[in-house]
Amino acid sequence: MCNPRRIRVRATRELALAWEEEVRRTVVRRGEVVGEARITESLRGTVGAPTLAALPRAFAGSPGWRETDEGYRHPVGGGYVLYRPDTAELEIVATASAVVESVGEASRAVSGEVRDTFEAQGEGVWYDDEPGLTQARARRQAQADAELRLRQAGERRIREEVERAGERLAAELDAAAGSAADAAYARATAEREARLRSDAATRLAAVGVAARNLFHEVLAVAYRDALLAFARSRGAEGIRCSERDGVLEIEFELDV
Amino acid sequence: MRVRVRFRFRADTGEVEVYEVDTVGQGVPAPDHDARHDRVVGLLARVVEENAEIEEDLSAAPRRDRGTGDARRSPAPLPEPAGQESPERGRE
Repeated sequence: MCNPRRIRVRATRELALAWEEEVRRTVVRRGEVVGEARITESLRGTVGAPTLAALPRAFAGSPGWRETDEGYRHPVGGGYVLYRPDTAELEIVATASAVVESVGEASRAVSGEVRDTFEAQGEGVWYDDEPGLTQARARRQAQADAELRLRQAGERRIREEVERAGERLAAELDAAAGSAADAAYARATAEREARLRSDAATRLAAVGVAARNLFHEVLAVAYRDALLAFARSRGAEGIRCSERDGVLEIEFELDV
Repeated sequence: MRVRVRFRFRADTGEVEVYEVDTVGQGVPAPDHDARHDRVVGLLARVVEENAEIEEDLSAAPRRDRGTGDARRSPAPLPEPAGQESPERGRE
């Protein structure tokens, strides 16, 4: 077989291509939903004022307690415990959380017409010494190739038109899809929150045990500081103070 | 007049197990012994608890004012098991 010979055909066509598409936009809203159950107890009226006054310093020196705008907070498995110095309240909170995701969609039918002159070139191959691959066949092949390229050019133009239409409508459709997503998210969140609050409530007792244990450790420090301050301010003698295995013992003598 | 103060707190239970004020020393009690005792017990109680209920232990040995865990009560600051005991006193 000798070298191939080529025929190139250039086609020019005035085309009017009508198109109709649907432009669709999707917005996803995703967030964490938390349900809480809490017990709040005031220490005012129960714990003595000197001990209450000693609590902030005791919290500040206790590992794991973090000072926040609300008060001193310590995480507990499944929740947290918070002491509010301004109100002398202890708040035990059980939490349950979940991720909620909602989708909103909006679509719009768009249509148009591409009317333009398209040009394309096709190619065919033939051989002098190959009976099946004649010049006439190569010409037909080049013509068909050019037609195919014309169609492809038209389709590309339609896709560009659809994309432009989508860009023009994007803001409007995004807003509509966003509203739909927001509404769905609000519904899903409300339903989920109710279940999470119920879950948290069932865990509140267990969280409370752990939270109280943490608080009692700080309370021991405050008792110690308040009692020792009282004793020293009154000239107590024989002051003994020990802390071992979670037991605080203080002893002193006073002349009264 | 001299008193000995003993205090014991368990952090694992949140319970004040012992908070007692004993009169120590011998001799004839001063005429205002009870008043002075009451005053110091009241002051001591309020360090730990705002509205402490003070009880006296009449079963104590002579000159010994004490409190025991038997008189424990729960004015606890917390919703669950935090028992606290107040200073208690007894008089001869």
